[in-house]
Amino acid sequence: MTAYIMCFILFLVGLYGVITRRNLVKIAVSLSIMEISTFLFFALIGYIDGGVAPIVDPADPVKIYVDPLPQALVLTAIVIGLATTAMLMAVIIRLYRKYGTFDIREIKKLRG
Amino acid sequence: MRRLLRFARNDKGNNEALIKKRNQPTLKFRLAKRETTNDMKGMTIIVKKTTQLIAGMIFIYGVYVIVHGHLTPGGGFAGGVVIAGSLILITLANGGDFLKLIKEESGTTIVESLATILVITIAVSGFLFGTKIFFNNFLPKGIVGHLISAGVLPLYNIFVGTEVAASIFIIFLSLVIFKEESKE
Amino acid sequence: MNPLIPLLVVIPLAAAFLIMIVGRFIEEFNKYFALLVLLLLTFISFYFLCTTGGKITVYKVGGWEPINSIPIGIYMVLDGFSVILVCIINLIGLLSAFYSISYIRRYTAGNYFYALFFLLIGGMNGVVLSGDLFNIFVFLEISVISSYALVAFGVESNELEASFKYQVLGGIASFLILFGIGFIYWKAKTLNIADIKSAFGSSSDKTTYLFIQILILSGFGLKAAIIPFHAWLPDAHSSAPSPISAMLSGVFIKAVGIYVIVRLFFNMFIISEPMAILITILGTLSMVIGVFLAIGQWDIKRLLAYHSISQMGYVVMSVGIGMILLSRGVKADIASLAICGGLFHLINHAAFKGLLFLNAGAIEYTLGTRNLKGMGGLAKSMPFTSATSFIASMSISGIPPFNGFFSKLIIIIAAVMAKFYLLAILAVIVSIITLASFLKFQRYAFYNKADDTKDQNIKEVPFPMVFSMVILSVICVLLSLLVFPEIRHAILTPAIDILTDPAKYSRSILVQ
Repeated sequence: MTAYIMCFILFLVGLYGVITRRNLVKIAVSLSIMEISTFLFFALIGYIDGGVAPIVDPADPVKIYVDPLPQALVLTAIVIGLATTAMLMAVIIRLYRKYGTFDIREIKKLRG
Repeated sequence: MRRLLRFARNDKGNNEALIKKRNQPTLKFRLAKRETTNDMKGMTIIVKKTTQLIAGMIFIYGVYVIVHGHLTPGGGFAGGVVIAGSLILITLANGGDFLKLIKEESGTTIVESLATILVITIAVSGFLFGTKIFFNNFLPKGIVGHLISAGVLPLYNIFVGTEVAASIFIIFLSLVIFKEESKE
Repeated sequence: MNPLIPLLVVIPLAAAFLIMIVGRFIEEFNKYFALLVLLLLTFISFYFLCTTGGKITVYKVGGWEPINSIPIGIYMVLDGFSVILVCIINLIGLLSAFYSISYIRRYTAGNYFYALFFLLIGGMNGVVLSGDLFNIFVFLEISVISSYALVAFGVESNELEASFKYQVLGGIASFLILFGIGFIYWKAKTLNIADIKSAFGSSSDKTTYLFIQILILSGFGLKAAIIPFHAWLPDAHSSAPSPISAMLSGVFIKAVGIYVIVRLFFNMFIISEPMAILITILGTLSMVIGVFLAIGQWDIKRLLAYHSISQMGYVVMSVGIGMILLSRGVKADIASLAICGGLFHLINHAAFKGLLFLNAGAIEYTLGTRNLKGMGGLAKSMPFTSATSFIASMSISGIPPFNGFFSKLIIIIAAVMAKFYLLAILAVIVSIITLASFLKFQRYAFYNKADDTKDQNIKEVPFPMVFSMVILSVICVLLSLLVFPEIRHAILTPAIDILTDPAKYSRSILVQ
């Protein structure tokens, strides 16, 4: 039960970062922290009591394995998170060249 | 519309750019002589020799993680990231000037696209050989626990690993190239 | 097991990477190859439209058959509702690609544009055709990341700022969707949409169920720009290049927003009344607030983007009315009429909003400005643009005999017959205000007296742009034929049957 509360605390930390930070790079890092809390939650779901890691050993075949499906889902989601963060970083670097600052309060040309 | 053909280095050692308009001969523009900046100059000789020793071992470890993807944890993606790490290490330690980075980037893009097309070809080739189902595992599956087994999965791992390594290397290279070319 | 179904997803992905390789060596390869591939995709999708009647086709990827009647593979499902969206995606993609043959000359990286465009189309095809919950997420992310890059394509400061805002909000939306999928897997132990329905039927945990529904509605509602989550849409849709704006506003918010909400709420969750009332209220708010925010705009593309929010509010409101009636278990034929109106308006909106954005792009291509106060008198010098823009404006305002009139009429009649008089009155008022806004657009852009201080060499845009706009306007007029009963039974009724019958979807899939 405490593991799930850890997930929730990580999510709140990430959300606080996205809302209150002014530096662009800190917003990107906080978004990444929010996604990590989801990965932790997914990996915790598949736990079965008394299970071991799902690697088949030909010498000792009969065991209780934990659920391998959420682990495959987390692997895919980590790749997607990497692509999102890379895209965000590229846009941030180009924004710095155009505006000259990392402060999000200065970047408000589009209004209305 | 003018089109940038390529960058080149002419006889005097200066960088130049070749620009071509349609139905007109190629023009050569000489780029300004750049003082070497502090970024992307190579590091000291101790760092260079150490990375030459270590990067090879990291590369071999990455290949091990990819090829044993159906027996141990890891597989295409994790091994690809490790290989990209070794390539980035070599580039950081040895530096690189502008032209060399651009050539590396265009070559790596072709490798990445080719690897993705091969992945899709293997997936579609389930249509042609064996049963007519997309994404089927149609090569013979061997004995559990041996290296050459599990049908078509090791091939997938290898191509996905190549593609992931090329992608992450390109992300690094294009950010460095952007920083370099906006200093001129 | 029709082998053409996965080809709709594989062909765009392969074409994207093929363009990246071959486009470096051959100069004009990317444009014509893109046109050929999109033509092939449109043929396949229209072939599906003509042959899929009311039956549901299932493709099991990898050939994994169900064990003990539990589906263990990834399923791709094609039924009456998916085939409408597949046709819309590929047809408007073809016309946008044709338009961008001459529009892309302003940018220098043509290869990257077409590669990202194909990833966008492949991702949307994957979302619409998948029968599996995590597959929807993966293809959603493919298309959404391509759209982030396409919005920031011409790297000026406006476009980068719009793309940054879009990315942060889209990242939060993806997180919420992933969280909801995690909860669903925890409770149902399976990820197949048809199987989740039978697993949820016997569950009695009301609080978790409500929490999952709110998470899914928030996540996908952010992608569809329903009203508390609309903040990214005006910036992103007005800063993108014009063919991409037409694709984003005409197809993208429908295929990854409205389609998934309708599919999951009708075929996966058991319809409950509080959620139905919430969806209807959100739709009505989108409709009203969108049009009030659009009145004071002087930038053409921002005006059109705000009107997108309002029209999507129409669709969500009518689908919500259908949900309320189905959850009470009464008057199934009025529910069918409401959902029919919603789907018809979805198809119409793709056509006329795409046409409006292409017109705005044509105006920007010749004049270089997007401000309505700086234009005037274009009706003489750009005849095709002004004629097609007139047809599109009359369609969106609901003037007979164009297609917007019939779909809005069906929605209002359904609202009146279900005794929701307030919603019907609001729909009429919003339609009148939309008409006022578009009359302003027409007057200031085309029919004003031109200032004599400008240089007079304004001529019509090149042929590919004109061709796309004319074809879309012909489609706008032809779509009003969908109201006749014979054509409606062929196209819209299979979709409505699958949505309103609670057990037909899961029963048909689990049997195959």
